Amino acid sequence: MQSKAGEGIWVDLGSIAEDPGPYTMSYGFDLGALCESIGKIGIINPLLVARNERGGFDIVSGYRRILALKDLGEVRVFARDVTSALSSPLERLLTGFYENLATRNFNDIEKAMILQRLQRYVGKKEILSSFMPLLSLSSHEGTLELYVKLLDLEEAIRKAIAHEEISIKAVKALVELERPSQKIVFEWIVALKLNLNQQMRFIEYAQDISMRDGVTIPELLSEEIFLEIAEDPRLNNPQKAKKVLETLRVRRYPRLARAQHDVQRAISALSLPPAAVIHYDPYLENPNYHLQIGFKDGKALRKTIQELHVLDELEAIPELWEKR
Amino acid sequence: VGKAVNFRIKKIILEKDAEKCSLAQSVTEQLQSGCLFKGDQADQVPGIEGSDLDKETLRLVSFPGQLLKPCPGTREYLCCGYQILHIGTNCPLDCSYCILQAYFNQPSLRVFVNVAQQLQSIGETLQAAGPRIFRIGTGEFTDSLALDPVVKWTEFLPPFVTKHKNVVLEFKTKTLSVEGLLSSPYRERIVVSWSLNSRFIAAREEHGAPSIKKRLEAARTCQREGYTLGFHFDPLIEHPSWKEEYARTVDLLDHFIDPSKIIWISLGCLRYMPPLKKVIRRRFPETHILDGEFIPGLDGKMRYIKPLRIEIYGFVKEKLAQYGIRSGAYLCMESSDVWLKALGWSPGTSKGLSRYLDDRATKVFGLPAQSASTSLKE
Repeated sequence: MQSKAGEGIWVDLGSIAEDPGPYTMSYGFDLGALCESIGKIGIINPLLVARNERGGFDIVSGYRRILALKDLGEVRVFARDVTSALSSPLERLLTGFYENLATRNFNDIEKAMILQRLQRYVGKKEILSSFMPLLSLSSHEGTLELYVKLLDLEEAIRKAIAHEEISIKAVKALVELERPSQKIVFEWIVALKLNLNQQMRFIEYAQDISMRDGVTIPELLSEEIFLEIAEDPRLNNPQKAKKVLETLRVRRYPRLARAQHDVQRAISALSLPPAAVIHYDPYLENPNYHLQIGFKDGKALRKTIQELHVLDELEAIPELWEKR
Repeated sequence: VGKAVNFRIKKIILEKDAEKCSLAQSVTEQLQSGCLFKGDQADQVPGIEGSDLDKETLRLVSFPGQLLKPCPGTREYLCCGYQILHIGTNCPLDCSYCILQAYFNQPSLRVFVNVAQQLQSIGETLQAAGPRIFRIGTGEFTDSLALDPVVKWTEFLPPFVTKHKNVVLEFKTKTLSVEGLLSSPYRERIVVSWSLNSRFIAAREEHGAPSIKKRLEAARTCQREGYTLGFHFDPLIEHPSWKEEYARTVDLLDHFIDPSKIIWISLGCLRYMPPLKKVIRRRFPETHILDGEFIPGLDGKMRYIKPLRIEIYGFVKEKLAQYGIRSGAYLCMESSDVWLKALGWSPGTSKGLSRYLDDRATKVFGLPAQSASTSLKE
């Protein structure tokens, strides 16, 4: 352990780039609390740095602390130079990785950064079997590919992923889209504050309609009907989300939506006894309706049945999918 | 290999326990051009780069489980009581709609080389079942004939069928690999069937498969050589001018094939397990087969909304009737109300459908008659 501690040196903060460099793995963090802590008690654990080919230093451990120090106007910091102690890039990467792993949870973008960096030095098989479980990810090639793709997404999307404003499941669908589509879909998801289920439906409808109708997703979502909903001052966000999704659904499934509407209208028009409810398969695949009667005793049941028995309107219930 | 269809085998992997099967030896002898990996090496062989399903690798496997199994079917729809003889999985063709893309987490073409050894125990099972008719097919999880030029199923399966009088064996294919069949002396209770579609779908979605015309030419050759034929319009897909397109396919059938010698024609609209959608979108980004109005069916598979299925089935059935198919047309995994509306009758239950097809087999092959009271009429 001693041999890896490195030599203590004072490093000019100007000689350290502001980007995470090849070894660190922090993203989407808030510097506020760290600045306050450093401002009050300073740096407790020394930073680790290694000399790079450009004559400056790469951070091995302590990226957030460096940014905080810069933010606080510091010009130099005491660090340990591990250039010799950790001679290989993999050793430096793993030092930073295990140090972080022991103290905090990674967000999905940080996991992506780790996997991308590991890919430079470690074989796919080992990443899948050894590192992905440490990151609480399934040891699946598709998952690895997805995470590496996250780093190609736009900054705003990456931030949303890191802050869990968009689900990784939705992102999986998002990365398959072209860049302009990614951008607009993401903007709608954020603007409407769609939940996970809504995010998935939104992407699927948009993608399906785009494919079927030969319009791009940006063209589709820029149509007046959607913009009007987005700008309607009478609707709150959940109402807008519901209306946008329903508009997309009707566009995607016109025949089904029409038939569902007809059936619903026919059922709603019935003067059913309050204890009776008619159910049907929402996809109209099961040909049978189902009648549910709630009752507290046999007398109540008989009463509801008698009311149903004399209800002439029942014969107006159409066969599902009957053309009207 | 693959003269009739456009594919080649680059690697052959002989898995543990498969080495001792004579079928494995004869396959490897014939595929000398591919690199061969054996036994322990087999676990280490990487897939072909850039080919996620690795269709250029042939794995010879000794399948540890039962090779004869009932078709999984589904309780929610009428199923035909088919039996599947598992001769392998995956297929050198690359149809965009293929369910196998999502079914198997193991890539490569796989041939179960222990099938010949298992035939004896399968035969005992069949015999023990008494007079029951077994309609057995090999084309559910692979194409029945695509690899026949090297595996030569047509050499050892037909003699097995001849020995078991209650067995009808169906080779289901999209290929032209009929040389093995043509040189076989066996015709008894063998059905050779082709999957058909519209020319539009065949050209755009059935990658690597011969044209519909070529398939029908091969079918005609088999019919002339005394084989009983079957056809499967599955998956029927809604696409531009689908009526004209499917009508043209039936016209082609009319041109090439004598309808009186067809045992059955199945119709099935496109259906898929939900995870397949992503696979199709990824592997075939330009395809339009997912454009239709699909809903989750009662069995969890995505299928067209009911009126569309009824319209498609009704249309194709009408064309087949004009062509001369008076009996033997059936729906694959459909509900009784769809049968009634599309075909004008229904076998009522899966058992009823199974009996109906057994009756067809009985009639076409002159099998001992089933109990008259259980037979179904259209």
